[in-house]
Amino acid sequence: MQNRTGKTPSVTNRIQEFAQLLRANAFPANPSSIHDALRIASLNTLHDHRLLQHGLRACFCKTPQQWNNFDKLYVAFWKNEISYEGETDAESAGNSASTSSMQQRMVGFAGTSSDTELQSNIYGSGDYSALSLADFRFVFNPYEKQLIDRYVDELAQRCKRRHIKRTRIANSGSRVAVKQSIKQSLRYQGNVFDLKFHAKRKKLPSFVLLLDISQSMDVYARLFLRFTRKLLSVFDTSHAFAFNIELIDLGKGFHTLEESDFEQTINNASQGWIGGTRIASSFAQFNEQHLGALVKSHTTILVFSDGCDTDTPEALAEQVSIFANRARRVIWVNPLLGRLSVDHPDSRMTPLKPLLTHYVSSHNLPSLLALQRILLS
Amino acid sequence: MKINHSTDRSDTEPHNRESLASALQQQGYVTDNALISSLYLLQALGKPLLVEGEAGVGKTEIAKCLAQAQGRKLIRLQCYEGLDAQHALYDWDYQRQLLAIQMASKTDQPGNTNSEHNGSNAATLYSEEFLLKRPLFSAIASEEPVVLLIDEIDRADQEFEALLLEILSDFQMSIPELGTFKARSTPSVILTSNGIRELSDALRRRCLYHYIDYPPAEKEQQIIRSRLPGIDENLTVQVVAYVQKLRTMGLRKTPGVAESLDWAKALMAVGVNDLLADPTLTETTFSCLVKTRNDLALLEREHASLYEQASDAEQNR
Repeated sequence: MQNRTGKTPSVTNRIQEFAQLLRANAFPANPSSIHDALRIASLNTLHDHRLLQHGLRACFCKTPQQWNNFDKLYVAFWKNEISYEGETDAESAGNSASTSSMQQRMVGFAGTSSDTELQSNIYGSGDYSALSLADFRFVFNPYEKQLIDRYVDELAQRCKRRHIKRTRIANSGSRVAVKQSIKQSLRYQGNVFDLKFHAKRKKLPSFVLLLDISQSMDVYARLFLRFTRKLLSVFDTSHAFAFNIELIDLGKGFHTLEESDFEQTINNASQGWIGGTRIASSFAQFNEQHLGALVKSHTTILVFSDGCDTDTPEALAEQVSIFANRARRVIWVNPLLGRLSVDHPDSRMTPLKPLLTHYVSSHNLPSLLALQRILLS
Repeated sequence: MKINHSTDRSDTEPHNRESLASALQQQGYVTDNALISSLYLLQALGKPLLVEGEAGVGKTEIAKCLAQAQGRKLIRLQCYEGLDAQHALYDWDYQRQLLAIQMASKTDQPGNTNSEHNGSNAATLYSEEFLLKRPLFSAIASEEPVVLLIDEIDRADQEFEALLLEILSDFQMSIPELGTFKARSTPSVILTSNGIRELSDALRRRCLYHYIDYPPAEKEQQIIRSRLPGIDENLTVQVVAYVQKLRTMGLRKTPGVAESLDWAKALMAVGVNDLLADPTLTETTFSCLVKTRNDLALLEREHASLYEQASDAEQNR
């Protein structure tokens, strides 16, 4: 029996299984794209795997990352060379449920009812409760790490949506639009009865991120970047820098900062590095080269660091005061603060505190939630 | 009540891959199988194609060459922050409408408040005669199939993306006063994005996707030869090797293929056929390659190693 695309059911089934594999690997393989994929298969592409591969890639991929990962999955599925790199780690963690789920993600059979149930159990609310208060540095299990990543993404996504809604509401405005009012008056023969108003365009805040990538921050930096990247992608004007012994420009737009690139940057920056973090000199470099161009009166500077500096706290305070005077606010995120209270005496941070608008932690999910409120306020 | 202006959407017969590839080749666009497949599917499935990639890798050029290759009209909408329906879809020519009212009022009897008369007047005012067609509407209303380029969609606001959804999914647009217009012929829609802002899932879902990375050295040489037919072969190899190395140096504005072409053109203009022959003369053309002060400083600092790279490439050839 043939279906309406003219292909035998086996081809249809294979493409649907492939779509399941893609979906399990976070590709947006929805019914519409599956339908397109079946149409592509009906366009004489089946005799040439390369043509089919290019066609399906154009159909199922929606981002550069998916574009880059697609070929690996395609080859794995259509040439039956399936393997899961993280399998050994997960097994060693002794979590059989997560292992089987992860295998399915690569094998592409995650669409059966039992698997769906298993996944819904895994992603149930119980895990959130259990993990929500855990300090990120104590999360070692790969499965739990994956969950934390997912929660961080969801959290950022929710915050982003909320912000977009707020901006829309705030933009409904009250300035008379002359052109539109005249246009509106046509129905009254040119008499202006019904005024039209311009939408208020709020000046959107811009963000500058200064990210400490010293070893002590490694555990937190990855998650923090993941969170910030999602959350702040709504703003066009953002710029990121990393620092350890010197300042590294990560570029404009947080959304361009992929985790793999970030890790690469950290690795490159750490090569041949012996000694402590030089925060003050990195900030001096920032003030000298980028302050004028990037920091305006509506800029929020977001510093992510534990403040452990080889320079003196006074030297650091001097540099912070330079950009604090220019920026709208300076938010200092210190993940180690989770171990102490905000008021705990810390000789390194004491000279800095008066210069900061907010001094917060981001060591677990609730602290990230608190941070997003500050960021979007 | 909305009037449906639907007409038959006559899907044109898609070119086959080979003819598409050769037509693009004739236009001087060096392409690969993946891009040919994406362009073929753009026509075969009648879906828009979203092309992403770094600045200067030839995204906009795809639409231009496709239009030329197929002998279709290119309609371009350059996106920017604040772009709205009045500038992208349609607007009413209200000056002409006002004039029409004035003309009508002179011919009317004073005090005539006949509702039927006023109604017919309003219907005339909101007719196609007073409609200003902007790029998207022009593409929908065109009798002949066109290539519609929506350039740098990431520069437009999110609200504008929402406006596009109806057009991209159904090739139709609604004008409250007139009704729904369906495309008379399916336009080939190409959207480009530099990734400045994340596009919405809804928009991505409606499009096929293609990502263009910086080309490998051989392909970039081919592009330069194709675009600058008179260029010296040594210079081509050197320029590509130099720029490829430059891209790995973490510049703030990484040079794309467009910059390579500009630079090669500039070198030809100042009479340089060998990068190594006169470095001072070569340095005068650096403004084609780098766009910020910091990048220029880096380039000047590292030019020795870059020349070395160019020299090695020439020897290996």
